[in-house]
Amino acid sequence: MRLISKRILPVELNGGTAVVQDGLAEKGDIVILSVFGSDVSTRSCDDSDPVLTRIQRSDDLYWTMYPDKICYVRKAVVESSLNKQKGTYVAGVAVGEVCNEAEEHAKNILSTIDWKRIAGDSEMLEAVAGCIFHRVLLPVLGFWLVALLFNFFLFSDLDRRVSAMRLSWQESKREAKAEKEATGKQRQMLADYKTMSLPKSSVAIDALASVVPDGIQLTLLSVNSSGFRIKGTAKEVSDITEYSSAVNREFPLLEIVSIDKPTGTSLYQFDFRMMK
Amino acid sequence: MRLCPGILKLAVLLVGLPIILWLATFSKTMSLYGEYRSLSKSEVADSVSSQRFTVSCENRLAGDCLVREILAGEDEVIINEYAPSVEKSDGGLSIVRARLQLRGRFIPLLKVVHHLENQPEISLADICFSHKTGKDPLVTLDLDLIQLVGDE
Repeated sequence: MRLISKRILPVELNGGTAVVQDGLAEKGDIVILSVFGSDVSTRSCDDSDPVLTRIQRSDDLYWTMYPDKICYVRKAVVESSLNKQKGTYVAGVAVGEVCNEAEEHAKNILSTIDWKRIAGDSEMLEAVAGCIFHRVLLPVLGFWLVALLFNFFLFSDLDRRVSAMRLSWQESKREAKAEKEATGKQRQMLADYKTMSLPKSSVAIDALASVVPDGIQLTLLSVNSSGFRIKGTAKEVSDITEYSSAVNREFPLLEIVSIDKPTGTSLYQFDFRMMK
Repeated sequence: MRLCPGILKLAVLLVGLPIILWLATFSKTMSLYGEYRSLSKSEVADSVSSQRFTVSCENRLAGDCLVREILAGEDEVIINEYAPSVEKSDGGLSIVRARLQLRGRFIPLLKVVHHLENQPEISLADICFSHKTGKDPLVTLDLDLIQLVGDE
């Protein structure tokens, strides 16, 4: 499709009537009128002829100068023929006695119309812009309609997907937070459990029991998170000393909490504590 | 330059309309597509890896089966008391504590302690041998057994 079309429109004037062939020009076309017929007047060129100048200066006439003559015609007659050709832009008028003569000159005018000339002529530019607007209006609107339809379906699909992904993302974020909290609590539980758990102590207990001298009787042997604790009774302090020395070899951090002899009893009581 | 209606209409059709349509609809689709892509990428990157501990859900301290199993054939030790209870529970884990009181001679009781120490998943939290002064050769052993159990 051409954005603008330039055409020659033949106009035959006979007896004050203009005849224009239908269908040669469309709305928005730039046309050059090729005017010929019996109503076209001709005058020989002569520099001394004052009528020639008057013809050229007249606003009521269309005229075309040839090397040997000037052909002219009344504007009103020609313009009456254009009522049927509404929407076309007349870029020039070639007047000739016969069809070929006028058409030849019209072709010359037509060849001078290019984009540079259109851009320089605001009226022609407006006509061309209007012509282009009418030609591209429907295709452009159709294109954008299709694009909008495609966009609508694309947007709907994306919106559905993004909504689902947002939900899933929020869910996984919530899960991750819950997982983090649970893991933190589990770590704390594990730490508490390890704090409560005693290391293997049966061998150490056996060692403490095996070095008890004959004069000593143990009343308590306990192990907890603070360490070992031994309580017992003895008839002699020397037995306690001997036992504490033996224990000290196994547990250098031995603390003698008390050694005393309560009133009214014959036995000494002792209390040892060993740190881990 | 004078602005003619034809040129203006053409400019609106060829320049203005696409700009308006872009701002009104297409830009929203594009931003939605950008969000879709970023969400797709973050979905792959954010796959949560669980760092939870694997802990047995079997509570071995629920009954005194374990103790009876250890004491099988050990006639000199008797069970005075066995009281299991859940001491603490959080984050899908529980610490179960069982108070056990045994009575018997010292060596068999020490063997029981040794056996319990070597039991998987079970720890000892408190060991206490006590003996009243006198001629009685029997010793009382108070034990606190603990286990970390996963909630089902």
